[in-house]
Formats: sequence, C-alpha cells, structure tokens
Amino acid sequence: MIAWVVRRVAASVAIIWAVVTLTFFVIHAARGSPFLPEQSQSVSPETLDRLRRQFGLDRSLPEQYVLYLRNLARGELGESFVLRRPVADALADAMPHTFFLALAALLIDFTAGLALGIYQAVRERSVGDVVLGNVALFVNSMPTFWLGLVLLLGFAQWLHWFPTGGPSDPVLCPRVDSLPCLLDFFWHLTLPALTLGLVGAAGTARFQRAAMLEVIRQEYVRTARAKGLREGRVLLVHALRNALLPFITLVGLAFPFLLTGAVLVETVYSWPGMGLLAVRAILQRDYYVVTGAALVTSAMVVLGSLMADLLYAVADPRIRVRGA
Amino acid sequence: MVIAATGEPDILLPPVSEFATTRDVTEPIFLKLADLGLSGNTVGDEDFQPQLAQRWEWDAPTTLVFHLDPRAHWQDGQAVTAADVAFTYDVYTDTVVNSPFRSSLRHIAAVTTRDSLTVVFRFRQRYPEMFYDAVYHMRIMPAHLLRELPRDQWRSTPFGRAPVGDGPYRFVAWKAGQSIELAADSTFFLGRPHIRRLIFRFTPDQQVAVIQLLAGDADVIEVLITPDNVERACADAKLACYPYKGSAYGYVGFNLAAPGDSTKPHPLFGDRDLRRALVLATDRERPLHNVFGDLARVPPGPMSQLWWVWDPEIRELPYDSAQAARLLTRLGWIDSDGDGIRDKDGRELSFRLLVPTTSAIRRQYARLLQEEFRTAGVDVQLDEVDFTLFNERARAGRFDALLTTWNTDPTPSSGFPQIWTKAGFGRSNYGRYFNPQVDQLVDRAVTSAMNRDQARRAWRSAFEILNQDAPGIFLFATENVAAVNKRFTDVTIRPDSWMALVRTWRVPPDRLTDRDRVER
Amino acid sequence: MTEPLLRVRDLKTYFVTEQGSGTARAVDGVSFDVRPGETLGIVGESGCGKTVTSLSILRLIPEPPGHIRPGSFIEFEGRNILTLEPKELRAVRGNQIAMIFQEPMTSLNPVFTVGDQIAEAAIVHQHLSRAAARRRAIEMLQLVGIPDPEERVDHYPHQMSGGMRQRVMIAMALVCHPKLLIADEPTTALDVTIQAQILELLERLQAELGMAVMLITHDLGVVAGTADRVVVMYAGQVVEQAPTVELFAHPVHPYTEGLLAAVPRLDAPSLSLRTGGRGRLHSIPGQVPAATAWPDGCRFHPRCPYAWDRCRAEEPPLLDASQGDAGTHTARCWLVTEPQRRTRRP
Repeated sequence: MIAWVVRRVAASVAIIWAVVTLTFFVIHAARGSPFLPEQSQSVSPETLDRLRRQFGLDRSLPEQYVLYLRNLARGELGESFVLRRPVADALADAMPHTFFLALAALLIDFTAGLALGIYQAVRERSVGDVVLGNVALFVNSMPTFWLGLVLLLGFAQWLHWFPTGGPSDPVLCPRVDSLPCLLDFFWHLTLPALTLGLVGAAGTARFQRAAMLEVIRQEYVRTARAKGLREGRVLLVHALRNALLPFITLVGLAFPFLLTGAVLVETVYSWPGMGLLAVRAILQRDYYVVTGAALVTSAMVVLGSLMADLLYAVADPRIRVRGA
Repeated sequence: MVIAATGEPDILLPPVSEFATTRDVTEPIFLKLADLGLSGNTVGDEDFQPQLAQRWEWDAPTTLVFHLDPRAHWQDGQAVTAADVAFTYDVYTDTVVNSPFRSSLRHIAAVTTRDSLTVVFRFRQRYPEMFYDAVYHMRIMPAHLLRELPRDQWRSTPFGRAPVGDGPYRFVAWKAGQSIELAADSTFFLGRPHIRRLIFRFTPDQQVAVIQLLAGDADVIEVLITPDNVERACADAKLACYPYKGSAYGYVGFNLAAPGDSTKPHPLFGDRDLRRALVLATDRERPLHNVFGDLARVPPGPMSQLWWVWDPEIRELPYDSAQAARLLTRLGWIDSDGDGIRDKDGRELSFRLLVPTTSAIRRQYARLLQEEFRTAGVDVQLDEVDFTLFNERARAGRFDALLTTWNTDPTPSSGFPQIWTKAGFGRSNYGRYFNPQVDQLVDRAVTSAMNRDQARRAWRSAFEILNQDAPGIFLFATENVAAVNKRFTDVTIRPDSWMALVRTWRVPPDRLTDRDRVER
Repeated sequence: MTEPLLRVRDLKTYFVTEQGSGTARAVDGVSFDVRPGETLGIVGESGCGKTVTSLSILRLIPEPPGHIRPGSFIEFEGRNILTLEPKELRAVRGNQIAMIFQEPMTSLNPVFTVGDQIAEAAIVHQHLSRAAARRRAIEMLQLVGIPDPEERVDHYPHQMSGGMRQRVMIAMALVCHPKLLIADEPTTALDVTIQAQILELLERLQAELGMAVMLITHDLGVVAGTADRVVVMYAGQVVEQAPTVELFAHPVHPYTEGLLAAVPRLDAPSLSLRTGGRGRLHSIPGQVPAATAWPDGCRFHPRCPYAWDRCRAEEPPLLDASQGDAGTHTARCWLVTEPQRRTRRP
C-alpha cells in the first residue's frame, strides 16, 4: 500500500513537471512579447529592452528554463509583468474563487446527474426516460457561454432573482464577515455554479444511466430481490454501490473540465477565478502567470485523479485487497 | 456609486501606468497642480483650474512659479509641500523609472523649491502649451512615503496596491479581479465630496457591464460603445445618458516602407498616387453609420473630436470613386483578366490588412472596407491576430496596412508627432510616413507659435498637407455616451477624463437609497 | 396424501421479443406440485423453460419484457402468490421461499462481505439487530460447512473459491429457515467433486431443517441421487412426471428416453476400448426449437424417432401412464394411448 502511494506521488510530480515544462516552452515560443499593456501602444524600445534584461528575458531559453526551475524549487513563482505583482499573490487571489465555483458546480453536477441517471435507468424506456434523455442531450450540447448569458439575462436582468455577476455585493458586503454576507456569497455563486453544473450534469446523467443499467442487469441484483428486500434498497444499496465505482473515476476526470469550462462562465459572470487569469495572461504573454497557472491547474488535476484512485480502492474491495 | 469598469488597473501609481482605468481610479486619489477646465483649452494658462496650486505667476517668459494651497494635505495627515512637487518631477523624469510621461516633460529644464509652499518650473524655451506640460502630466506623489523606494522597484511596489493620496477620495480596498473601493475624504480642502463611496466593479465583458447597469447592480458606465447599447440604456427609465466628445480616432494606416525592410519603399504604398487613389475610392460615411450610428464622425484628418484643432473645414481628399478609378487606370492598374480585381504586369492589386481581434468594431470595419475596396477593384485580405501579435508586427513593420485606433491626449502636441513625424520612427509611426513640411509645421505649432491662432493655423496646414499625402484613410472619431443612474444629479463629464469632476456629483437627499447610506 | 406445499397450475410466462419477431412463450402451461419436505427435480435442456418457471414462482420475471399470463395459478401454503401485495410478496421471498442460483460469483454482490449479505435477510425478515444477525451469519457459515467462520464472515466473495461461494449462497438462502428452497442449477458451475459435496450438503440440510427442495438441473445424474420425484420439461411444457426410480426404470416419453440414453456410461460396450471402441455417444438429433415458434402438434415430433401423423397434427395432453397409483406417472405422448407405435423408423 505504501509502495503504491509512493509510486503514484512520484508519477504525479513527474506529470506536473512535464506540464509546466511544456507550457513554459510553448508560451515562450508564441509570437509577441509581454510588457505591452492592452490599452497603450507607446512603450519605447529602450524600455522594452531594459525590462527584458530585468526579468532575464534576454537570456537563452534553456537558461531561462533552468532559472525558472531553480526559483520554483525555492517556492518563487516569479512576477507578473502585466499585474505588477508576484504571481503567487495573483494565483492566491484567484484560487479560492475557482475552488468554490468548481466545488459548487461539482455538487450540482453530481447530485443532479446521479439522481437523473438513476431515475432514467430504473424507468428505462419509459416516457420519462426518453424525454429526460433528450433534454440531457440538449443541455449537454449547449455552449457554456451561451447558457451563462441566457441565465444571466433571464434570471438576473429580467427577473432580478439573482445578481448580475461578481462574487459579492461590493456595496454591502465587501468582506464575507457575517452570516448575511455569507448568504450573499452563495446567492452570487448560484447562477455561475448552475451554468457550469447543469451542462456537466447532463453528461453525468447519461453516463450514470448506462452504468446503472449495466449493474441492474447483474445477477446479484436478482439475488437481492429474491431475498425479499424492498426495491428501494435493492437499487440504492445493492445496485448503486456498484454503479458508483465508474462514477468515482468520473469525479476524478471532472476536475479539468471544470477548470477549463470555467473560463467562459467566469467571463459572463465576472467571476475572478483562475480561468480568466490564465487566459488573459496567455493573450498578454505574461509568461510566469501562465506557467504558474499551469502548475496549479495540473497539480489540482493530478490531486483529483489521485483522490479518485484512493476513493476507488476504498470503495471496491476487489482492488483494495489486491493492493494490500 | 458603483462604476462598471471593463478593465482592471495594473497599479495605482500614476508615474508608471498609462492604463485608462488606472487613470480613472487614481484621478480622485491624487491631485495635479492645476487641472484642465471644461473648455478643454490647452494653450496658455487662463482656462486651467487651481488644484494643489492655489495661484501661479510668470517670473520670466520661461519661469513659472506655483504657490501651493496650505490646506492641502496627504491622507496620512502630512501637509503637501513643494518638496513633494520637486520629488515628483524627479521621479517622472528618472530614466530607471521610465515613466510613459517622461517625454512629455522634456521641455522642462528644472523644478526647484523656493520654500515649503513655492515651486519654480524653469523651461528650456517658450511655447504655447508650457503651462499644460507643467501641470497636466504629473500627479504629485508623497515624497515622505516614497523617497526611500529604489527607483527600479517603482514598477511593481506594494504602495501601488494601497496608495496614500491627497485628493477628494482615499483608497479603502482592492479585491483583485473584483473591485476597488474609495471613500470620500470629508476633510478635503476644496470641499467635501458628496458621494460617500466610489466602488469600481470590474467586469471582463462590455456587454455584461451593460447588463449590470440595466439590472441596477451598477450605477455608471463610462461609455456604452455600440448604438444598440446606447438605445437600450437611454430608453431605460432609471438611467440618464450623457454624450461627450470622444478621445479616440481610428484609421487604416499604410506601410510606406517594404514589410521587414525599412530601407526600401513598399511595392504598392510607396507610391503616393496609389495611396491617394485608395483614399478617394473609400466612402467613409457609410461604414461609419453602419458601425457607429450617430456615435462618431468622419474626422478631417488623424484627429479625435477632443482636440481643439478639430475643424471640419480642413481640406481633405473627398470621396470620389470616379476619380479614383481614373487615377488607378492611369497608374496602370486595370482589370485585364476580368476577375474584378485590377492588375498590372501580372500582379494583382492586392494587399493584406492587419486587424487586432480584440475590437469588434475594428473587425466590422475591416470587413466593410474589404467590400468597398472590392468594388473599386482592389483585393484586401484580412490578417486577424491577437493584440500582442498585432503590436509586434506593427512595430516591426511587417504589414501592408493596418487598422487601428488611438486614444489621444487633450492636445495633439504629444500624440501627433509620435505617429506622423520622423520622431515617431521606431515608435508609433508604424507606417514610416515622413514629410519634412509636416514636421516643420508641427514644430512651429508646438514650439514656436506665439499664440493660439498661430498654432491653430500651423496645425491646419500640417493636417492639410498630410491629407494630400494620404498616409492612411481616416475613418472615425468617436463620440462617447455615458449612462448614469438618474438619482445622481450635477453630473459633469470632462471629455479628456470623465471622472475628473466626480466630487461634485451628488444624490439629492430625497433620492438617497439605503445602499448609498452605507458607510465603512 | 398431505397437502402440497406449492401448487403450480397452468403457469404461462411469455416474453415480448425486441425485434418484434413475436412473443416467446417460454413457459406454456406448466403444472406440478411440491410436497412438504420432498425434493422435486425439474430436468430439461437449456431453453426448455425450467429457469423461467422457477423465477416465476417468486415473481422475479422482469415485467417488461416478460409477464405471467392471467390464468396462471401459483399457490403456496394455501395463498395465491400471483395476487399478493408487494409487501406480502417480499415477506415470502427469502423468508418462506428462498432461491439459489447457478453462478455464485455473479450472484453475490462483490462489494459487500459475505457476512453482511447473509445477515441482511435476517435483519430484514426477522428484525435481528446487527450484532445478532452477524452471529447468525457465523452460525450459518458453520452450518454449511465453511471452516473458520468467524474469520470468513468478513471476507468478500472474490476471496473465496467457487464451492465456498455456493455454500455462502446456500447459507444466505437458509438463514430464515424457508419452507421451500428453489435451487436453480446449483452445481452446474462447479467441479465434479465439489458438486457431490454441495448435493450432500443440500440433502443434509433438508433433513435437518425439514424443508422442501425444488432442484432444477439439466443433469440427470444429479437428479438420480437426490430427487424424490422428477418433472421433465421440454419446449415450455411438462412432458413427463414420475417418481425418480420409476422414471429411470420405465421412461415413457421419447425425450426422457433420449436423455437417459445420452448419459455416458463407462461400461457401455460402444465405448469400451477393449472391444475396439467404435461406438459413438448417443445424442438426440436436432435442436430445441425457438420459443417464439414452437412446432405444431407435439412439440417434440421433429426430433422424435417414433413420430407419426397424429403427432404432427395433434398436441397430446398429459396422459396417465402410471403403473401403480393413478396419477403418479404422467407423460405428454400419444405413445401412452398407442404403445404399439414405439418402433424405430429405419
């Protein structure tokens, strides 16, 4: 067991290193250079040169890479050219927003998707199954940006049920320091989380439906019925427990989707998360922010995958015993 | 008051930033010596309003003396002194700090202090906009807080994320990516601001910003940009619209040098007549109305509506497709193979137009122009690239023509030479246009003119000659429309810096909402 | 004669097929009794409907695509199973009537311990506490002959061999002391030696607990050793019914004959190596027809060596072929009325 964990951790570190390296070289290879703020076009060539020297950008690429790695080892992520602050600070500000958005979206995704998938599997081929199946397909095919705008226009602008963006009300709740402000935060979180979560839920439902159907056909389900158990228990204990196993893998895979899909949602809802930060940095060739974001993102993905594997081992005794 | 802002400032330190949003946020925090009046006149000193300087006089034609208002103080309690002014000048002109405004201050020889409230500016020579240069570019910095800061750290110092100023508003909080909050300083010496809190809310998308405004989550937006938004916002019962002169102009710039080799002329655009023909062939009104509706005008040359030199009487090349056709034919460009595109010696009359993807307006224009040129027998291919790449290629001269906009200062004196004279080579004069006559006239207007009329005449001549050279097609000069929630009254917007007078805006007591009353 | 524990009359279970190739009449009018304490063997090839019959008794047929036709009658201890409310039916399943299946690996839930799965029935039906149910589970494991039951109770199915898993299944089925155990091919998936052990176990438990067993199998050898009476099924119908000894000694239906002849015997001359071993294993020619298209007349006639016109035209009912008490031996064959026809065609 220990050996397995050590191996996985080592593999994870290797993956993160590979991602960061690849990102580093790709972003440096992109045409265009940093230090050119969006709204101005009048940075003089001398300034450009001096800044490049200051940040070591005039050295050869491999040299810069080695420097970067050395700094990384010391825990220094570099400085953002555009934001003019340490990359770590910028990431630290953005991370919690991405984290909460992803968590909320995951929750919606999985509860809605799971419930829907189970319902559809149990009522296979019924009218409900077919209707819900098509609705799920429709929602799954929606671009997140479009859905976000639709929800924003409908629920925020016309109905005024929800705010039009941002993670909080800047007038009344600049800090989340009281219960009303906590509720205010959740209120602001609802639409973005729904946008991300619903699209994912549709996919999860289709997946879970198939997994449940697969399991329901199994003979141990029949045995459970033959024992005189209530149908609810047969489905939700005997069947679901097995159908959840592939689902755990899905959880591990959902992370990257949430991180990338979040960019569009962050744009529509002015949610200051890592997605926006990373995309802007790429467009502005803000090298260290890009590599920093790649580092954090790949770490999160790898961690998610690791946790999924651990969870799987806990859930499926067949794997557990083998690895023990 | 919640302001829907589409950009986030980089650093709240005026000497090192030229972001528009940074300027908006630092405007209420830091004062200048004196500020532009509503007329926008940058010549002489009559139309300027005292700020940090209570009064001033000219000891000599090149010596300007300011007397600071003794009531002015920094938000940490210290008084504003002449030493602050001298320090600020030193910082702005320091090569290590490398302020974007450094070159604007090159005519000032020295800034010294006579006593704690008296500052002396010495100029190298007399010229019409001396006073403007002395006061407009610099926001005075607190020497006692920043003197010790090494000059190479000014770019990214933490002070810039929590500045201490001397203006009507003080900094409260900056939530990265979300908002910046400023609070009114009730002890402000020129009068307490009426609106208690200013909250800049960052929204990455312009459309979403408008949605926020319409939903009541934001109170103000600087500019609505598209005719649709203007219509929607102005029709909304809770909003009032305020049009004001825009500071931007857009154009298609030709590259007069060969792409990648500035020693040789461009195979097409090195020919003045060809350029003139293309300008004659372009109907500029139609695309303007298409894209902007009423929100812009065709400029009589490379100028924004903000400039005092704006004059519809300035002579320019008209829209005359017949003359254009004749000219092109005379130059040897005829459609010999009947494909609708003119050619000569086996080469087609075709060029690539570089357009940045960041602006929907420019992209729209590019397509409309493409169509117009096609009817004139010219083939235009569009190169749409992201902004950083656009900049790189523009600087390096690797383009045939580009479509771009400039945001201008209140006067042409700084921006114009950078773009349209020899001084701009290697800087913003991407197309490498140079006409010694234009350079001379500009020099006269900026440096040697005795008074405003002389300057105006020199400018006019410069524009007219430039127009005849057709280094570009001058497409639009914007007019802005701001939308403000109706409960705010006394809203005055100065076109060059729309937040400049925000301390005079107010909400009448009977219209105050609970949200307005919240204090921090 | 004692009242039968289970009475099945005219059971018809049909399935709607997907491709629309018609209805599969898997069980088409089956009747038999099970008496308390007896072992009834149900024998037939795959596809004859024996498994569907056993599933129908506990109403475990998935409702689409299958359904038990109205007119079918299943009575257990005087109560009509087919009209029971769901709650009452659940009280019968696993409690009064228990069932074990062919493949113990897939019939046991892989993610729960064997102890949990055994205890579950006790908790649900007898409302035992978790601790008491666990003790019960250990008892049952001991009863079915699993060594180290205190340890094994926390094992998972995949940690056990095939034979042990089947014992667990039996333990699971018997934990509530059911009156009837339906065993669907309990030994088919096991080695021969394990087979014998399991059958022995079943016999012993039956004697100890006094329950009836319905043993479903295709293997006549299994039936020979353990069943009191045998029901032979073919093409969804009962084709012969008799006490075991009687069936083996005097088979009436040609299908039964064929089944008996097909059992390989080492002492058969055709197979003896000493005599040159030129013989072949006997098999019944042809294949079991599809349940969507049973043949007309007697369903066995295409494969029957004795078939004549009447067989092709008329479907025979179950006729009495008893040599002793009436009704003890029945067969669905015209040969009962026309025994002279029992000649092989050339």
